[in-house]
Amino acid sequence: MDNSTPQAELHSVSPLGGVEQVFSNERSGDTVLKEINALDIVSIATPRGGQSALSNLLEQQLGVALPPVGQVNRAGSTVALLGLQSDQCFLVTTEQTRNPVQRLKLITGDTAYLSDQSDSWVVLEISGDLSHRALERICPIDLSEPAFTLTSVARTSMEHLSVIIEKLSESRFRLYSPRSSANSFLHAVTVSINNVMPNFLSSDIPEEL
Amino acid sequence: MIIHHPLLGPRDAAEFVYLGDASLLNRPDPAAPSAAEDFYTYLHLRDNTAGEHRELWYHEQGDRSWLVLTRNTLTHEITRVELARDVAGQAS
Repeated sequence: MDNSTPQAELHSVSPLGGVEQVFSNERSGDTVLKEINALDIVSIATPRGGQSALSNLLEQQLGVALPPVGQVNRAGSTVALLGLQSDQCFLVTTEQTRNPVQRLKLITGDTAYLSDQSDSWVVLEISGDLSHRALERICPIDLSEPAFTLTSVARTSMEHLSVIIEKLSESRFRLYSPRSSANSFLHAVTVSINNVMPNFLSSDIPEEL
Repeated sequence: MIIHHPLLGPRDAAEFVYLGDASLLNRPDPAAPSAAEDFYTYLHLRDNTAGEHRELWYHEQGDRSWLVLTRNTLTHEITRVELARDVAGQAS
């Protein structure tokens, strides 16, 4: 190897380059749409009949038990388990590591099947006065209490794109959608926010979207 | 149309994909002497029900579960929704 060749430096790139948009005018408060990065996402599938063994391990080591389908179990603000379907959930954590599967396997051993999903999703967070109204136009789920609570999670579709939606507060939602269609998803949410803005003008949509 | 999912509650029918008659769950025994005839019936012959019909739906834009719906083909009224894994478990 030629030692004079400079080593290439690799930088990770988020699906939308860390986009953050603030939608505001004098007739409404700010509505903020931003990409969330720096999350490790691991899919956890349970072998048939192995739920309680896995749940006990996770509760002892991470402080969260396996959630039922449609529910989120959280440990503080760093770890969340999203119950997405029978025998499958997502671990979402802000404590990033180079190999999230390897780290989780130290806890779960052979009680679960794991796959790293960290780079497979674009994660958007929408917050502010118009977030609920913007989402109800594109999301077929009833997002109001008590149908959808702060411990609810749902996998659904918005504008034909697969989406996982989680409620962080009454006016703050987190949306996960496949990375490969990240720009289309951003477009769908952006258009919907613009459509519920008071005094909306079609010229408000940036041309590059 | 709204489908009341047994685990998730009311969901829009747009999240689901329709497969067909729930009799597809009852796969014939390939070792039986009448296997050729049984598989011909299983694959190609369907009742064209006017009334209550049991059918398979897949929750593709949701929790990826297979469901068995009981639906009236005349009124589209859905009277029962079950997880296909439970129905198949009862049959075996």
